[in-house]
Amino acid sequence: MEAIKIINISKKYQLKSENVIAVNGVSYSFLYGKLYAIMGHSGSGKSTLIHCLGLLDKVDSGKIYINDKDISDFSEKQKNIMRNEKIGFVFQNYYLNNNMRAFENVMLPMIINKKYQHIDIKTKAKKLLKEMGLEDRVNHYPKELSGGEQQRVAIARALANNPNIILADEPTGNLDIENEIYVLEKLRNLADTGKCVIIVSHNMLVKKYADIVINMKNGKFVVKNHEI
Amino acid sequence: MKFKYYIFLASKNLFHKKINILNILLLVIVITMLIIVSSFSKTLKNLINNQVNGNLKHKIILVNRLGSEDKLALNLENIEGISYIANYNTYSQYVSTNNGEILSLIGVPDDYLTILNGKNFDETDENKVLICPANFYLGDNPEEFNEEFLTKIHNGVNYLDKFFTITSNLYKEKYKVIGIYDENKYSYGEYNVCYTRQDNILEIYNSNRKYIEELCEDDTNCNIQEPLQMIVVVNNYDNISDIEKQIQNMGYQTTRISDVNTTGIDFIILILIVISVFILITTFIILLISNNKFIQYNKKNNLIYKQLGYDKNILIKINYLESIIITFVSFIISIIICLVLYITVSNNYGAQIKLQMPLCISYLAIIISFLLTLGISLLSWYLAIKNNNSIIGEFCDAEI
Ligand SMILES: Nc1ncnc2c1ncn2[C@@H]1O[C@H](COP(=O)(O)OP(=O)(O)OP(=O)(O)O)[C@@H](O)[C@H]1O
Ligand SMILES: [Mg+2]
Repeated sequence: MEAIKIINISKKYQLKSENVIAVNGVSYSFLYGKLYAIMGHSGSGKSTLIHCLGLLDKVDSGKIYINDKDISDFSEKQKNIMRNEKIGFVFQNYYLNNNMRAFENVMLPMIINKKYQHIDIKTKAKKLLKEMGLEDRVNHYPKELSGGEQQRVAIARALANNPNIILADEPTGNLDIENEIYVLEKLRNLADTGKCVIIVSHNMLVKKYADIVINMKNGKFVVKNHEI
Repeated sequence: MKFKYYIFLASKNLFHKKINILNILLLVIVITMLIIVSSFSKTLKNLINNQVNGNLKHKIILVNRLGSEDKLALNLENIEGISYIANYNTYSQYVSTNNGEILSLIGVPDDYLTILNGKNFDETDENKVLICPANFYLGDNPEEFNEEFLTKIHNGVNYLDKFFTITSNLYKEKYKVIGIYDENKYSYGEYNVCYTRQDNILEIYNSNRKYIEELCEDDTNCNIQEPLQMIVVVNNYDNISDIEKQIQNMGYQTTRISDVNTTGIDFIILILIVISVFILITTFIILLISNNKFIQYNKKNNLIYKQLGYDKNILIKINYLESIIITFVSFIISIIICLVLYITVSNNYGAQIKLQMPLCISYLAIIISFLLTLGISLLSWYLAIKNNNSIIGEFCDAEI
């Protein structure tokens, strides 16, 4: 089963004077157990693509299948459940709620997960943070954490509902080399446990961890090396 | 999603958002003003009630019978809103007591009064009994309510079950104080008014009449007539003009012993209502603008929730819950402020104010203020959310 299959998807932005075609007729199959690195120049459409894959944005044409289900038939509610349970996001700017402690941030996706109604999500959140090496940071607010620590909280949050698909947009963009390696190794481990991990990045270091490197140019895929 | 998590999410942002602090400040001012304004109008209304409706003098119509055979009392039976009818000579007499106070004795039917302490007329077989006011004043009627006046006020309860020797010219009888009434509810507009049975007043009247007749025996100018006047006491001041008209339509001549004009106070209350409405509308507009702005600046948080799979509905509910909590917090703060104000005022000026007007914080005013503020704060959120429908839960617009 493919994690995500896209067939001929396009996304354009309508500006006053011109149309920007951010993603231009891309087809591809992303598999479980693999780490994909999507590289490319600024403005090549990487973020737009990953937003479409993660159902944060709508495509103008083409089809997206997640776990073999055509998501164009999905209602907004079904998409929300899919995002909540099947997809974990990691962004360059972490996107933590600054008014919540680290463990409370990690609780957020679990609060609305129907399958987690009868488990102690507070304890689970703390456990997840411990796995990210943050056991003495659980009660800290994002402002009291370093960038690397914030990103690890964000990863713990992305993993809270144990999703099979991880989408990361420049996850190491704001990190120093030490944290960069920590995060990439973590993502690599996740792929090894059978998840589909897609990383968008400028960073050449990502290539070292990837099974498949995809170059994007003007909204199109240029697939370089298939399986190592 | 469990309710406790709605509370959790709503409370998390509560005091971190500057806008919420601003909203709380605004709401505290509004609720406090509303409570003060409405309590003040309640105070004024109570003032009218006590000064006008509680005052017997304002509820009396004097009616002249058409002749000694005229059955006025029977004729008035069909008119609604009349408390009781008394002959002029069974109505009232001034007497003095053994202590030297001047009492005004008023004769009432046995079931007319409700009392604060002691017994009512229909609870005793004794005849020479009095029901006296809760506040007794020793001395002449005061000209102003000053400190000296306050020291002369005595608690009427101290007179309960004690005896007064009532004298009027040759009349001298011992009366027992059996009950205490609230003079805010039944007053004659003067101090030391005690109520008694109508028979007793008639007795005093007859005794005085005999005394005058004896004085008049040799005087040809003396011309004593049976009084033809009757006293009609109405239930409620509001009905008095209506009832007076009905009596006049039956062909009787009527007079009033007092005439009050409450339009001044009505006007003040109207102004207070206008001020309250103005306060509410202004707050509503400020809230609407600030909530609108807030939603537009709050894209980042919405985006976090959206990527985690939160429904737009949940986000909207959290916003509503937040504004309910904010209103509630502001409400508690306002009540504390009002109570402190109330206690300060009544500690410093309590006695004077209490005698002139019943100062009050009205529960109804508090509840209405709360509901009104909650209403405008929810409505402002509703409109702000509706206005920015596309922004909430949208991901692509937000700068990433
Ligand atoms: N909301 C938007 N409205 C209009 N144009 C947009 C919008 N978002 C992206 N674009 C345009 O679409 C194109 C692709 O943008 P995208 O953000 O996907 O690039 P990217 O590859 O992620 O770049 P970077 O590496 O700088 O993040 C760009 O030309 C950009 O200007
Ligand atoms: Mg990008």
